[in-house]
Amino acid sequence: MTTESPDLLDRLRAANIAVGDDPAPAWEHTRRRITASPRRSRRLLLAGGAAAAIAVTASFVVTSREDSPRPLGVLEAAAATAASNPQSARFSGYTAETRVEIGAFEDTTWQIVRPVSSTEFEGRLESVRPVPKSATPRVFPPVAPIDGVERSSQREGDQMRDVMRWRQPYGTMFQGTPNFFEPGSTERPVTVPTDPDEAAAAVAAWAEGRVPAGAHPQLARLIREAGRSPIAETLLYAENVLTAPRVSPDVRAAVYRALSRVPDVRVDPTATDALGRPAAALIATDDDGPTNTRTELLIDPETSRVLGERHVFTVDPGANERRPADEPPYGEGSEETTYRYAD
Amino acid sequence: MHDEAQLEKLHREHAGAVRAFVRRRVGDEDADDVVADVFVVAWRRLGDVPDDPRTWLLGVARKLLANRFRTAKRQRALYERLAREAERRPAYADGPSMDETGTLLRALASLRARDREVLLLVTWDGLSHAEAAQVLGVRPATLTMRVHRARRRLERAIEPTAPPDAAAPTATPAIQPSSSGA
Repeated sequence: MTTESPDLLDRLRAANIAVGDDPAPAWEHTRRRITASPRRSRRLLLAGGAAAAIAVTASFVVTSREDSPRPLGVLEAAAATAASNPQSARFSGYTAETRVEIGAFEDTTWQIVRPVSSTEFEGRLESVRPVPKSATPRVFPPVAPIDGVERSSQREGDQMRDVMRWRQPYGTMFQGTPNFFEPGSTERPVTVPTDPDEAAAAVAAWAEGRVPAGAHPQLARLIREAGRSPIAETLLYAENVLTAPRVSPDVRAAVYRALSRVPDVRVDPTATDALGRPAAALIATDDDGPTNTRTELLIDPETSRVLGERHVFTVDPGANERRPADEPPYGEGSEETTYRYAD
Repeated sequence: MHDEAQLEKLHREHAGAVRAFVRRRVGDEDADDVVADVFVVAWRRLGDVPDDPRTWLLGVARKLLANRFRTAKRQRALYERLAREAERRPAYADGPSMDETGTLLRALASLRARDREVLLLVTWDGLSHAEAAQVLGVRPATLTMRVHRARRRLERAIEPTAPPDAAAPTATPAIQPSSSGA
């Protein structure tokens, strides 16, 4: 090992990639932002890059309120496609990758859904984690008593892969994880609407801030926890139905038509998903004090398929600096699920 | 002075320093946006800006960078890239050799974010220990101890026989599901 070099910091100074001050950026660039950001307002600018990105898309984002037309009939096109597309009734499977990046926390999980018989599909949830340093085996949290759930853990190099696998009958929603239900629950999997009118009424109820009549209580609880507003909850419900295996084309079409009648669902027809696929984003934006959530359901209007679900979490500029010293900082980041279909 | 005029003066006098501070950490691409964010915060907290505002503004910039860019990863990638570029270029006659620059940048990339930050503050940003302590919100004595430790770790990182944990991180292969439903 070397002895401490007396000039090491001088050597580091000499490697400076930006010596001295830069020229000041144009004042106008900042002035525009402060003009748009009245002081002490609750609705502040989003942090830089996100603000810029949203500003770019904002010119394409319109609402279905009476003062602006819905663009390009995105939802109507999706409804028409869904009604005429027998693929949704066949169902050949998909992999949904969910990436969470909030602050320094990053995590990826996979949900794999595939047909296994004429009456059932298999749901599989996979995740990886570092091999634990201690010899203490991982204890899974208690999970709901859904029959037939298999769990396994397998070492892959310096990672452990945890897998949960189970089967569900067609006509039920893929719930994403077997611990969807509360421990001790004897509820059966959630059934998918078979009546288009029922599906449309459920969408309308969520949009009005009501739990639909006859809704599965566990599904309702999950959606209430995940959505931050009626519109976000509506999008989550729609995603559940639209990604369920073997849903009737009429039901899928009814969901899209019902969404087209929800005034506050905004549509960005120029979005792209995490794989770069062109998409239409159905958008809900919610503020909760200094934190903001933008929820997007990404669809392909040409196939009526759901391409992804995205939540972007931002914090008002300065909110973390102003928070009390004993409070943890608000986190920023995103959670995004991307669907890849087998056919 | 009118608030906007006061902010413009603050911007005129310090935006260049803030921009260089940002550029040293995340490169040039987003520097102007971050500078604008810093001064939006200053606008909203004009009453809190101290008479000597430089370290206060740099502290705001540091927090915005940490929130927005997951800066540690991005810094590491930036210095790795610059190190590779430096090692491919001939040295300037009056500057450090490009091998030396590359070695230092690569070593910087390999450090933990906290070590890297204190070294940047007292070298590239040209701050005194007391000023760097203000930026980080710690006591000067704490800062001095951190600089000492970070410097020792930087030395170990540029040591040719450095242990593996001091070397630049290797890329982790992309992890995929065991088999696809797609």
